[in-house]
Amino acid sequence: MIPETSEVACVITGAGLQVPGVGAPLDLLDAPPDHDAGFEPKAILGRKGLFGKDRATLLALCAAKLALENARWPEEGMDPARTGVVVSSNFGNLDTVERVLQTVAKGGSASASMMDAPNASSNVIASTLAIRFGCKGPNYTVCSGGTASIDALRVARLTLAAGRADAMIVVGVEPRNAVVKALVEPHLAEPGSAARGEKLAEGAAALIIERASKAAARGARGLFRIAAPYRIRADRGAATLAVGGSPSAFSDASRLLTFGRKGTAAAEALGFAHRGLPHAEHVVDIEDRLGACHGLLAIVQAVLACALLNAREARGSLYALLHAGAPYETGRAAAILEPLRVAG
Amino acid sequence: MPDEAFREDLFITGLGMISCLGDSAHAGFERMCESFREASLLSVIDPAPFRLRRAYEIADPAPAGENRLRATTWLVAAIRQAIADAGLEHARDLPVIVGTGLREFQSFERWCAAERPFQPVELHFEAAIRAEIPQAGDVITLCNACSASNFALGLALDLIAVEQVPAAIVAGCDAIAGSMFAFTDRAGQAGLTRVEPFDRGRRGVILGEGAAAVVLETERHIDARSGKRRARLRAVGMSCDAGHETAPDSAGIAAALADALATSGCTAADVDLIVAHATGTALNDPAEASAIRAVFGEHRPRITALKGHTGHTSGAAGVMGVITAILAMEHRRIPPISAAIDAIDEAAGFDLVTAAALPAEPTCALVNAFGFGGVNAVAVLEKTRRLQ
Repeated sequence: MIPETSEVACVITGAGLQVPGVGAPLDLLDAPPDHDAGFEPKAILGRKGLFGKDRATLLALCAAKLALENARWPEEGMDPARTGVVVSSNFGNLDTVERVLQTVAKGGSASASMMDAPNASSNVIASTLAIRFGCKGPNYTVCSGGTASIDALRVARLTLAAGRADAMIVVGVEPRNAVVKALVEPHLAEPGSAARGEKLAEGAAALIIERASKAAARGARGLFRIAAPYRIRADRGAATLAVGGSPSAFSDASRLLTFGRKGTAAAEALGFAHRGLPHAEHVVDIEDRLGACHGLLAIVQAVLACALLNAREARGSLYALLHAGAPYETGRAAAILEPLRVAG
Repeated sequence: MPDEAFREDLFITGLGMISCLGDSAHAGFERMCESFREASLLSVIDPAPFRLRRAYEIADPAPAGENRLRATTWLVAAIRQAIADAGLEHARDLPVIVGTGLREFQSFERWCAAERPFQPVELHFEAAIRAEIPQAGDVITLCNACSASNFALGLALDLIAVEQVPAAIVAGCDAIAGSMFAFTDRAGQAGLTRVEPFDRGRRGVILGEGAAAVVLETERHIDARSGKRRARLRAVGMSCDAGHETAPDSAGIAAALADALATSGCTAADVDLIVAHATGTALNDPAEASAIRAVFGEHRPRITALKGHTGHTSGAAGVMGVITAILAMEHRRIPPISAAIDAIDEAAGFDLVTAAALPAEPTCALVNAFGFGGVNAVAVLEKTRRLQ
């Protein structure tokens, strides 16, 4: 097993959210976002360098910028040359692919705009983040469907633990547009939950994850430790067991933030019935508010967990169990965030 | 690196490959050694919008347009081959890392044109692998452009080391998509019929398609089951240019080459074969050659490249290069890049393999893969010294 040294421990040191219609992360607990709300990337990013960027890329740039500011980067000693990027997105560039195809079918390849060339490649979001923030570390794009957001946390953790980078920008992002709606929405309606999943989420969420030793060395404020590598399993319970080992792993969690279905009991939300489980303080259903999140899901959950931890007087008392999976896919994945105790 | 002590030696123990050269790794390697070819006439997507009417296509058994999910089909076939080659039919729960540039965009584009049904779950490969490969555990699909499968190899190496699993499957796949073909068409010059790496007269890149897979395994696991080593994977070096969205950067490429050498424990002088990325585009080949010169100085490893044989197979290209390097070590011959090369200035004096397969005994090979967005990954392979 991997030794639990500070060298391979990975801590979240910053979080950022850019969901049109949602202000601060804590607003995720309130009413659903106004889906027609505008999105002004210039307000966050300034005017330069935005021309020709697709919407998913702009959303990701905004969320990443907010997360980096939250982590106090780079003025407090983070090195862009030792920083990598992981993006989780399934639908980011489908609109570009469809548009290029239609344009070319009508007017030949000469009619395709070269501005679209980078956007035709599915890794454009991750590479644009690297260009914007100067990140020369490993640069990954994960597009593995419903579990992609937790896959991205795993990729970040592996990259840090292997010593390839000191910090990773992890972004989950999905756009909502006509192509994505036409492709995905027919698959969202589930039997017995007709009200759910008729809408798709749009937005980006970002985390800064660092090697604990590096974060400590630069005096960064750590929020959560990413506790365990997860495994993809066929249902939520199995996924939870795979990360937690057993239900008793949660018994020392004085407070547990569980992401699951609205209105379900904690044990059910965790995916199994177990009498010894602590009461979950919250069962939060992100998708009930935002719509189906896909590659965005676990990163939004983690961003909200960071905001809730920050809002508490007793820091270090909130555990978070992240869950990801698309309604029409079989794979489910889970990850646990453990709060960092504040010394002194 | 503080975690070095926990790394075990890793070996590749199984190979699988489907390309326009044939439906196995061995068949593909033999054809690369024996013959040259032009790209065939484009049929898998509508050629009408394009000046370039050729591609390194895989001929389908069914009539043109009948096949769905071609990339997925080849991926599953290549993984099956690699598992059988490794003798791991009874294994279970092997992590699978898939690298792809274009996912199932070929089928998605047919859905856009209202020609075929398509589901979001078919964009990536987890469902197909779960259904068809009983040995598979977690499936992670990486969308890292033209270096995707080399990044998959690097991630698998890290996963085995950090999570202490005994083996993993690494694969890459891509099928030609019209949206990307349009940009290669725009960038290519008239009269383009084949990819001409490192040549002054090169006219651009032509897309290819296919899938490749390898099994990566720890020494302990191989010994416990009396498995057979094909080659040692010493390292995968990575870098990101963080410079331009599409143009390659010589300094970024050199950084990946240097990272590969540094993390492998090999020196430049140890390397006797480079499988170059060599796309035959105006920008890649000079940038790659300059980076090789910067890192290797006066040392001159043999250099080969696949794209004159397979076209640019995008996400599959990295692992196809890895397989070619392994077979070159085993068969003691290096396939030629092309019939003849009038080398670009940046490659002057390089030992480019041309005309015919070169009898040689490479023992340490670098395999290059670079992608849009400046994502660079370089694998370091070493011939297995221990006799089986």
